[in-house]
Amino acid sequence: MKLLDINDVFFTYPDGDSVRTILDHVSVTFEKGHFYAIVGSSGSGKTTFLTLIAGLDSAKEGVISFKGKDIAEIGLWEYRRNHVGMVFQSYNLIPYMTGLENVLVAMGISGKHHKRSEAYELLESIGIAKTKADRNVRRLSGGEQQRIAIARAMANQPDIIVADEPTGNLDGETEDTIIGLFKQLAVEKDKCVIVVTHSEKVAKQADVILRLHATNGTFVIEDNR
Amino acid sequence: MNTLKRAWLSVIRKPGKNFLLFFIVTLLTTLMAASLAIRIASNNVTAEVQNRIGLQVSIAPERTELAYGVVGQHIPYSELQKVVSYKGVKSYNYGISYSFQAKETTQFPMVVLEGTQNPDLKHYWPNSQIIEGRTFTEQELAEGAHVMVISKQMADYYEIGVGDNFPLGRFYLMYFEPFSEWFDMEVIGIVDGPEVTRNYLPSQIFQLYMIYYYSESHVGWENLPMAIAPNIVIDQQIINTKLNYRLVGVNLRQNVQMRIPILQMESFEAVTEMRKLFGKKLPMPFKFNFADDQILSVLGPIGTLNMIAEAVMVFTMVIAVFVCSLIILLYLKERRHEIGIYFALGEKKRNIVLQVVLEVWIVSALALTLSVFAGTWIAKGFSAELIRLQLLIAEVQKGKEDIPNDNIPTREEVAAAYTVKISNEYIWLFTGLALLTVTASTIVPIVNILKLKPKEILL
Repeated sequence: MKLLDINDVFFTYPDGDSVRTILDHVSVTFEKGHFYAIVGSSGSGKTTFLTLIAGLDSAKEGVISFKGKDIAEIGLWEYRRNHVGMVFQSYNLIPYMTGLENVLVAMGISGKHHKRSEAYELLESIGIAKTKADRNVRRLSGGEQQRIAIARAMANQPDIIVADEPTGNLDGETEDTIIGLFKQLAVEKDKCVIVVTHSEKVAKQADVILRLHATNGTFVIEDNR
Repeated sequence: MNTLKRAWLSVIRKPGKNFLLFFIVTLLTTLMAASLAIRIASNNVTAEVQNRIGLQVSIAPERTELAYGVVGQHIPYSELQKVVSYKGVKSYNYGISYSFQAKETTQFPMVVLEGTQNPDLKHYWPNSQIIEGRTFTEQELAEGAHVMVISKQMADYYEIGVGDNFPLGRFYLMYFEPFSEWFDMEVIGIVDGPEVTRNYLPSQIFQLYMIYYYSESHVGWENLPMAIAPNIVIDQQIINTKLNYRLVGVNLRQNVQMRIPILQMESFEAVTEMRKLFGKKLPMPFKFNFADDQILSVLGPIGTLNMIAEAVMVFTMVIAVFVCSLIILLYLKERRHEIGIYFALGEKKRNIVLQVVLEVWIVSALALTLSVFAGTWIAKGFSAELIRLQLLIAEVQKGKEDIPNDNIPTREEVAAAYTVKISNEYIWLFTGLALLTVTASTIVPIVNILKLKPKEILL
């Protein structure tokens, strides 16, 4: 089912006295239940594209639609709150809180009433036991922190999970575990998972690879389904 | 997890970082609390004084005339009647005292005749009571009937009772011709109480007073037996005397003791009207004293204190907003990342603003609790010292004693009535002002946060 529709999106950044085109009228569609990888060299516009999908910024031209409705009309804040879960390379957890509390924060923001037990269950499903969930996040390993970040991204029951280099700070084995989680979310939880990565190893595990060209701001889509 | 819980966790999980804000808030709000405590105490005393004398107008002689004793010391009753007949006067009190001689004894003792125009004797002598007979009727007071209520001390000393006739008057033994004039006073009642009992009444005979140039103000009035009579009677006996006091060299009216006439007005408009109608019509050397003039006079020390307190409070609030704003701004700069996370999660801006405000309030809660007590303690010490200095200054600057005015408190009484204490009013006002101040200090930092873009913070 067509979930997210990127239609003729154009985006530029100021570059000294001139303007640099990052995305040149690109169009692409994302569906539920699939794992997408956005790949490109440094400066190709991967993160920019991710910020537009995640509702952290607005396109200069073009329309991004969620379930047929322009996200600008939905409201970027509401779109992020209700429909998107984000995972970052540096985890971006609240450092003075426990894993459980980080998840509860996201649940609280979503406005949906959740019990602590639901938060524990969510963490458990990601592989974080209760004892670790009650620990301050700074006392956890990188892999554990990223799992908590994924659990937080799931807290508001989003349709879309976007991740920006989620395995960038992790070792190989942990990286495989995390990517496995994302695939599981796509297949078992019917989420649309979009991961930005520079790693070909990660990209190869995706259903669809979108390769961004730095020079002309366009996509080449490789569909592995 | 709601916004309040987030704010709470933010404060308790980072006590070290929040300590500076706590310290500054405690320090500055303590000064605010002290200033507010002083202001409340000052305002309470001022309100008490204003309530006591607010709608009052008094009539008093100019001080220079008093000092030199040139002109009569009491306003004649006939002149007073012209003023008090004005419809804006709700009520008035007036009393004069004069010492007369008693005729019907061989010892010629003096008697202090205290005047009243109020049938309720407790008005001037609150701790006294009629033990025999009755008090005056309104008609007797208005018409100046020659009746008197005597003290029990006087009744015992002269062995007189209700219904007896007791002449009073003057006897002067002058160097060329004796002079005497008497008027009869009927005893209608006997009153007893500490205020009508003299401290010292010698058991031996009073000496005959030879009036050449002997001011009766030199007489120890506390030693003379006392009786109470209508003001008009005393007034007329002084003014209408046939004694040629110029020959005697004594100004009889000068030796009257007068309670300052206090007029209780119907309204503040009536006070203003009084100024216009009668301001320049009083006989010399009398003038009106209006309440606001008197209030300023007795509230001198308190007024100074109040001014200082107000200045300190305003200054402290401004400094508190400025300093706390800087501290909060620094804190929030360190927490940009955290705020970016909230933005990325789609948290509403108003909730982020609320969280910042709640965090400041939580830090301030303990600070304000300490400040309530510390501020009161400082206020007590500081204001006591300042009032003491002000009273010393007032003492040095004091001129001739004012003539008695029952209703106007002295500066010392005002200072004694001044109390710094922890009251509900103080706690509520201080809490409101302090919270307003610390909340205002979040404005600039919050405006700064809201300009942040999550994309720039997190990616």
